[in-house]
Amino acid sequence: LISNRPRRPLRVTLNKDDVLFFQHIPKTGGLSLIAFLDSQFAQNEIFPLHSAGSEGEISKFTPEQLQGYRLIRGHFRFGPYDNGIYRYFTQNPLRITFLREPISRTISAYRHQRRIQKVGEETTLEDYLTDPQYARFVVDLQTRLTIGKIKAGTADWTDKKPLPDSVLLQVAKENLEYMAFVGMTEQFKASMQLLCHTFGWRMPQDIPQINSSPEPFDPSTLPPSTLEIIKEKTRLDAELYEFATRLFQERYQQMVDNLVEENYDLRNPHAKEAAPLVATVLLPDMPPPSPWSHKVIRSVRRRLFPDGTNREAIYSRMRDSIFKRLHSS
Amino acid sequence: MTQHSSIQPNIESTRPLRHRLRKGDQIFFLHIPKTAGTSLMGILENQVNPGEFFSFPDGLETVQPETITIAQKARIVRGHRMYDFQRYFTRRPYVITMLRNPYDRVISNFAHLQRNNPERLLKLARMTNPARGDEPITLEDFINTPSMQNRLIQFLTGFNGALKQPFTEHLALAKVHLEYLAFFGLKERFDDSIKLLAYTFGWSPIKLEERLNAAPADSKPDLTPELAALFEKTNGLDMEFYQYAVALFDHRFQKMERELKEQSR
Repeated sequence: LISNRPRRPLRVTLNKDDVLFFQHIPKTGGLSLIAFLDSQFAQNEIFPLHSAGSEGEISKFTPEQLQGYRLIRGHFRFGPYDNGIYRYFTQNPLRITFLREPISRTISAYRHQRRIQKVGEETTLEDYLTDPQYARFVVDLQTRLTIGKIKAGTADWTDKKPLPDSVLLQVAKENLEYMAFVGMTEQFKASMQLLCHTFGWRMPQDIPQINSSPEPFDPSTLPPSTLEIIKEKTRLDAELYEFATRLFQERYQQMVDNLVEENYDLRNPHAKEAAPLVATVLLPDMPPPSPWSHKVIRSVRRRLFPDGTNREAIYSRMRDSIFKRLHSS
Repeated sequence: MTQHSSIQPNIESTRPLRHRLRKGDQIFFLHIPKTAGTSLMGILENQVNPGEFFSFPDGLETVQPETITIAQKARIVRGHRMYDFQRYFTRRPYVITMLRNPYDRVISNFAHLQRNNPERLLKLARMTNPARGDEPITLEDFINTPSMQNRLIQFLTGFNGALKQPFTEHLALAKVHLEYLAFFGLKERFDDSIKLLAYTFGWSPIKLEERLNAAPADSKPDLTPELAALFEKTNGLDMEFYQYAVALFDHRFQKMERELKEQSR
């Protein structure tokens, strides 16, 4: 991705006339996030609809009301050809979203829709995945929602794509990259930290899980053939998710760098050297940022902790101290 | 060619033409060389307070941290930068550009480099043929330089390793990006373009100033059949893209006129 490129600042100062748009992809933890987002705005600043079934619903609002909304959240799309809500607000809101690993998301959606009886009790997961009537919930949903409608005359595609895969993916990736924030359902807490950092909000003490499944599901219990079908139906989503993961790691790293620089260097003369280590602990699968090689990190670690102090404990102390500051700021 | 590259633009776009600029909104003027962009620059500069317009020096050098700091602060940012330069803005900017008939643009670009930057011309020619001496570079040499081909599409897609040759996917992507632009104008219809620009952002009608950075009128060579064939071979995708853009511009311009008529009723 982008590792050695200069980075744009993460932080956004929300103005009084800004509109924040949270694109809610179903089963990505969106309702939990919405509860938090709503708490950041006054009631009359929040557009109450969560999806716009018809034009008529929006026309019930007066232009003055529509002008006053600063937070829009829901299953809305933002492509140039969507008959979009953006006509009533701004075409250039600050966009944010959450993505989720596509296999879990698909299964979660299936189970959810059975719970709310949108999908019949007798419908098996295989039926759900292959029946054309459910295709719009299944096939590359995250990519489709992120892009919106980019070509006229094409219905929401599930079988016949309006453009080559590479172009669709490219447009989806750009849309994500140009968003102010992209979170990962799997790393909800870290995502909340990045979100709060981005908009200068206070980190919530705990985030209630809303609308989540009563009992967790283990995808490895699926028959391989079913897993194959899901993979095939969410091929673009898998690629988009991988891109989003790297984007998230990069931005998270940038946040940690910012925080260490701003909050920590007065207390710890080695803070700058230690900064990459902090992040390595926060996100274990993240590669060390260039020019930090593992070798450099090892040598810094030896210098910082010659007595072999448990490094996990030290990192977690550093991290807690940083985020305590974030809380109280 | 597939249905992906049909000439007809998507004309029933619901996207509104007008954008009310908010306090934090920024405009990125993606300036493709030799598209009357320098004239547009003067116009843009007049729309904002002093210090809110920033123009990058020419040349596509790598992005520096200072570059980003500037891009964050200015209200309008102009530069010979490609579509993906947007990633350096924390707030996604409104992107605007000017386009021009690719053949005329290439001729003009060549003449401009001959006059102002012959070293760059030589460098470009040596990229294709490292063994070449320093004999004068012809228009044909220039057209045959791959990095100078289909430049409209290049600027509108950015550097895109992900897409495969022979770049028909770049063409498709460039068309999609055109839809994302808040405004694009055509050099051939400069006055109309400026009207549409003012309408787009709700600026008061703009008085046209003199053309800047324009080539002397006599510098355009004849288009021989050989030259036309070479150009078609090397820049055919750009020609197709341009035709598409002209049709879309027509559509947007007519839509503006209809809206203005309705308002005056």
